[in-house]
Amino acid sequence: MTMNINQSDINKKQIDIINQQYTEKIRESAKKVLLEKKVDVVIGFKNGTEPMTTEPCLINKASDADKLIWNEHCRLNLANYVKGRKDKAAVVAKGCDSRNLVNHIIEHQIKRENLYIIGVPCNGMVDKSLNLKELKVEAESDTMQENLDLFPINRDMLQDNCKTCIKRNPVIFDEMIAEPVKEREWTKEEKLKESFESVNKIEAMAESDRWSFFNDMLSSCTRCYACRNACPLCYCPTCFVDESRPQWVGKGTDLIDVRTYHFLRAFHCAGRCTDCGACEAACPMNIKVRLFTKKLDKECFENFGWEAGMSLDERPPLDVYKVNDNANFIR
Amino acid sequence: MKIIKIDKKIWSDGVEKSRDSYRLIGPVKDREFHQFRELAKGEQPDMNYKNSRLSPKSIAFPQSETMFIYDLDEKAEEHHIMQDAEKDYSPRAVIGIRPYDAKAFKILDLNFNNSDYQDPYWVNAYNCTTFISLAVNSPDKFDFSTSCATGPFDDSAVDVLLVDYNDSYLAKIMTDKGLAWLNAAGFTTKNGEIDGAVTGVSEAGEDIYEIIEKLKADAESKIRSKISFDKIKEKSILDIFNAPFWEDIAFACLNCGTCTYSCPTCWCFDIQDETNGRKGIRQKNWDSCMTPLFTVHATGHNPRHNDWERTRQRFMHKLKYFQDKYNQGIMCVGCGRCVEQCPANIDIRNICNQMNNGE
Repeated sequence: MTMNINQSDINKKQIDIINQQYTEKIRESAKKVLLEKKVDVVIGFKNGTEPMTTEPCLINKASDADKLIWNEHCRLNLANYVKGRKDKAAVVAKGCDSRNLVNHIIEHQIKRENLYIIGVPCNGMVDKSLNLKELKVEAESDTMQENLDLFPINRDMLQDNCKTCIKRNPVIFDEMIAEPVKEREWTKEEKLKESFESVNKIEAMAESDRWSFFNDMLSSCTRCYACRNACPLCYCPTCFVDESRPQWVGKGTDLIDVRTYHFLRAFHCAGRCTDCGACEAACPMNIKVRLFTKKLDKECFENFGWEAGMSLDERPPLDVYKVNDNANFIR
Repeated sequence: MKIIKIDKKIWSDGVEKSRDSYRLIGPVKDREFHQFRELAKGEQPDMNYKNSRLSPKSIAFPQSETMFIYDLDEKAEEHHIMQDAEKDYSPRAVIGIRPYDAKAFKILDLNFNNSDYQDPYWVNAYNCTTFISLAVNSPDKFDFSTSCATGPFDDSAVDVLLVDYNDSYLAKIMTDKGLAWLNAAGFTTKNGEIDGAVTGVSEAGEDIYEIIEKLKADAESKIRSKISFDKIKEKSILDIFNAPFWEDIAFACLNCGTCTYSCPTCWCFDIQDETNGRKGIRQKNWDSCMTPLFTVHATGHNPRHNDWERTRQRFMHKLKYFQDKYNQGIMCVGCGRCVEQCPANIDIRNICNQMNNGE
C-alpha cells in the first residue's frame, strides 16, 4: 500500500515537540551548573541567523542560558570547541560528540574532571543541503512506520553519517536531558555491508576508475580547510600543510597537493574518527570527504574490531600492540 | 545610453557568433554548483543560474596563477633565470556576471591597480574583459547588495546590463566595449548603428526604460537584509578593535577559508615557488587572513596568534580599515556567499551592525 502523504510534515511536528523538550532541558541544566558553580562556561548551540542554521556558542552567565537551543541542524561537533580549554566547561553532547570527548580524554586534550557533559539522545541531523519544505516523501506504509520508530526524522533527510549511526546516545555523560533513544542493533556483517557501503563501492572499482573518481571528487576543493578545522581530531599545533620549514605540501591548486592533504589528513584520523560528519557538514563545496576517513574506520573495524571513542578504558589500535593483533604484514 | 531588445530565440546563436572575436566566460553548472569558467565551443552560459558558489573574481585573480617559470638544469639555456609565463590577454567577454560581482572588480582594482602598484596580471586580465552582466530579478535571502552601494540592477561596473524580460533580454549599453561585443554577436547592425534592422532585434522605445525601472524596484524590494556602516567610519580604529564583542562573535568561527575564498572582494595573496625536478614555477596563490600562516613571522612569532584575532582582522579590514583608507564605502558588495556558506554561521550582516551600533 502506498500512501500519498507528506511524511516530512508529520515528522516535522514530532521533531518540533522533541526539539522544544530538549531545548528546555538543556537550558535548565545550563542554568543549574552555572549557578551551582560546577562549571565556568557552557558550550552549546544557539539559533543561527537564517532558518535551518545553528551556531556554536559559549555562555558564562545563567541569565544567558535561554540562548541555547536544540534541533536537527546542530551538525557541528562541539568536542571541537572544548579542546585545549583550561577552565571547567559543560558541553552539550550528542552521541558522536561524546565519542570525541572520549577521544580527547584518551589523548590528554582535556581532563574528565574539567568536563560536565550534558548528554543529548540524538535523532540524527538533517542533511544541510535539503530544504525541508520542498522535500516530499512518498513511502510504503510499513517502511514508513519502521522509519518513524527508529528515526523520527525521515531517513532520507538525514546526513549520510547519521544514516549509519552506531551510537546515537552519549557514551559518557554527567546527565541526560531525555530518555535514551533506541539504538539500532547491528551485526558485524550488517555493519560491514551497510555501514561501509560507500567504501565497498569504491573498493569494488578498478584501480584506474578509483583514481579518476578521487581526482574528480577533489577537483572542486579550494583547500579552505573547513573539513580539518571542523574536526575535533585536528588539534596539531601546526598542521603539516601549514608547516613552512620544511614545506611538505604545495599551497596551490595542483591536484597532487590537494590529494596529499586529503589522504594524509584521513590517515591521521585512523582509529580516531567517530564518523560525526562535521567535515562534510562544514565543506562549502559539498565534497564527500568522509569517504576517506570511512575507509580507515573500516580497516580498524575489520582488523581490530575497533570503533573510536566508545570507551575510556581502551587504547586506540594504532596506539597499542596486542599479541593477537592481526599483523600479517610484519609476520 | 541606449537599450536594445534581444529576442531569446537568437541569443545563443549570437553568443556563439561573438566567439569569432572573443573568448567567452560564463556560469556553468559543475556538479551541484555553478562556477565561472571559459566556455568550450558550443557551450552556452547558463542564464538561469542563481549565483556561483565561488565569486567570478577568479577570472582575473585565479586561486593559483603562474607568473614565472624557471629551469635549474645548468645544461639548459637561460637556466636559473625567471621567464614570463605564457598568457593570453586577447579580448574576452564574461557573460551573465551579476552586477554586484562586477562591482567587486572595481574594489579589487583599488588594490591591484593604483598609483603605487600595478599588478600586471590583474590589469591585463581586467582590461581584456568585457562585462556582459545579468541583472538579478529575484534576489535570494542572503543578498544584501543594496546596502553596499551596489544592487541587483547596478550598471556602474558593467559594459552591458542584460535584464531578463519575458522572451527577451533588454540590453542596457553602458560602454563602447559593451557595444563592440553586441556588434560582434550580431545583436546590432554591422556598423554598430542600432536601427533594429537585424532580425529579432528592435530598437526599444521609452517604455523599456520604465520596464527596467519597475523590474529594478521589484528586485530591490525583495531584499530584506540591510546593514549600516555609517557610524563605523566616525569611530576610532582602537575603539572598535578593542570592543568587548570580538571573542563572543568569533567563538563559533572555525577559522577556515570559506568566507575569504568565496568572497568577490578578498584580495590577499601569497607568492610561492614550486619546483618539480629541475623545473619550477613562481605562482601567486589566494591567501586567507583566517589562517595562522598568514601572519606568522620568520622568527616563529605570530602577531595574530589567537583564532578570534584573525576573525576580527577580516571584519576590521572589510568594514573599517578599507573605509578609512579609500573613503569609498566598505569592502563588501553584499553578495551573501560568506553568509550562506559559513559552516558556523558567522554572519557579516550581524557583525557589521554590531560594529556600527555596538559599544
